[in-house]
Amino acid sequence: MFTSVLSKNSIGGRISVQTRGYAGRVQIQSALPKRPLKKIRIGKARPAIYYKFNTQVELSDGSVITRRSQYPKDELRMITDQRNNPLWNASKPDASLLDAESKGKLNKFKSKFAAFEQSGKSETEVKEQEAKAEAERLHRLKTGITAKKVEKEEDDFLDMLSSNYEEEKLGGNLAQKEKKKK
Amino acid sequence: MMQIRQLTRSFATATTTTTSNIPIKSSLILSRTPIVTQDISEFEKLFYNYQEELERRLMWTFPKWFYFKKGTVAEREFSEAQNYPIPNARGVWFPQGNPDLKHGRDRRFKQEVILPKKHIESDNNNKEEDSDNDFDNVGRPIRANSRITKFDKENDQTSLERKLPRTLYLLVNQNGNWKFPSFNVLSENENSGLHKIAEDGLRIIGGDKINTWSVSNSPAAVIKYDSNNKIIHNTDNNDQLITREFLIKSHIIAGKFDLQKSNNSVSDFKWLVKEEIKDLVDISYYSKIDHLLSDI
Repeated sequence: MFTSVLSKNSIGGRISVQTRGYAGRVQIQSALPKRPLKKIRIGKARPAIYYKFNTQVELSDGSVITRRSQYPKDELRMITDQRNNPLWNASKPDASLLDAESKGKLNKFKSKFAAFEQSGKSETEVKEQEAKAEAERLHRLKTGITAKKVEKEEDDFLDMLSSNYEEEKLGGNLAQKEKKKK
Repeated sequence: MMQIRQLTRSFATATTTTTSNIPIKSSLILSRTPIVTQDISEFEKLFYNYQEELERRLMWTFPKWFYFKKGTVAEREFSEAQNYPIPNARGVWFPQGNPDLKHGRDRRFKQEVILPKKHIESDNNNKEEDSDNDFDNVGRPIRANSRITKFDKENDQTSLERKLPRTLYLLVNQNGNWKFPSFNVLSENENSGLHKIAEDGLRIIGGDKINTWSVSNSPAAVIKYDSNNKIIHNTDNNDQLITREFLIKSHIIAGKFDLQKSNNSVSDFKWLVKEEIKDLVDISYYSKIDHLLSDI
């Protein structure tokens, strides 16, 4: 059995008495409320680490970086990114978004059928068009803003193709639900 | 306190006495910042490898059902590319332990997902080697560039594309001495800043096809020379003919240093890392610039 301990505080003059009934753990009341027991459900025991691929990303200037991605693709080729955006590449005016376009399918098609594009046009008209395209390109390089497309540059009679066409109706009407009479 | 006062006085004399023909020079520390990440040590390599493997082991199973719709071509191609492990079976003894399969993945090990490779062939129908360098083909395989360039192999010290993970500094052979390019402050451009004089001087010796960015208009350091062009280490020297060389920090952003033939004072230039600078320049000069250079 433990004897009671008596201590005297000389400054305050207060006497505090601590007693112990028998050997065992001292019961100290916590100021904090008891923590509620939280059930750890299946699959929640450790943090979510999703499967990630090491993706190789080729930027528009040819540099390759590796990054983690959940998307199942290990190779990515950027067409427009921070390396050819005029806003962050003031010192390289020749690297542009337009070069990125030149690798696309549309450009490939254009280069293949370029001979037909100029058919039925005089030499001066062709030159004018080229100059206009070049001016637009330079404007876009300097400002990064694309010139607004004019609604209709030339009359190519394309809209006439479908002017008188009416779609033929095939088959009968689908059965409709009859309304219930109230 | 005394020392500080003395220091400020010495600067004051430098600025106020320019009219009395005491020479001042403006020198440029032109650096090319690292292009790729730093080289890592063997220990770091092992550490990162361990962390990578640990994370791979803790990763959840790849949700195939989320990315590939059942019955599609993409799903079939993906499934065909996988090496599915053998499932557990009754009465079969597995020497490595019984497989614990869930969603086609053995949960005892990390999952290795193999993605089906398909590269769009170019129209030229050339050999496979050509398809790598066929820049018109958007479907060409992606290859990481080498960290060691051909200029590293040739040890071409005039190239900017060498030592990619390190900071390079421009050094010139000016009047027979290897040092940072330095320019006299003449009486006519006394009022334009030191940084301006250094930048202009750089364009005189290296052409204007260069884009630089000066860190500050105040110098990073000063080197004092006596009348015999020897570096003075003692700050208390009150010699009236002290030449002060102020060092301005700057970075190259675009373009290149192209040595001009018309200039006689500069005969050669090099882009060097710190260690190479130590071997090349004068010991007393290096002791003055040592703390200004980056170790990486």
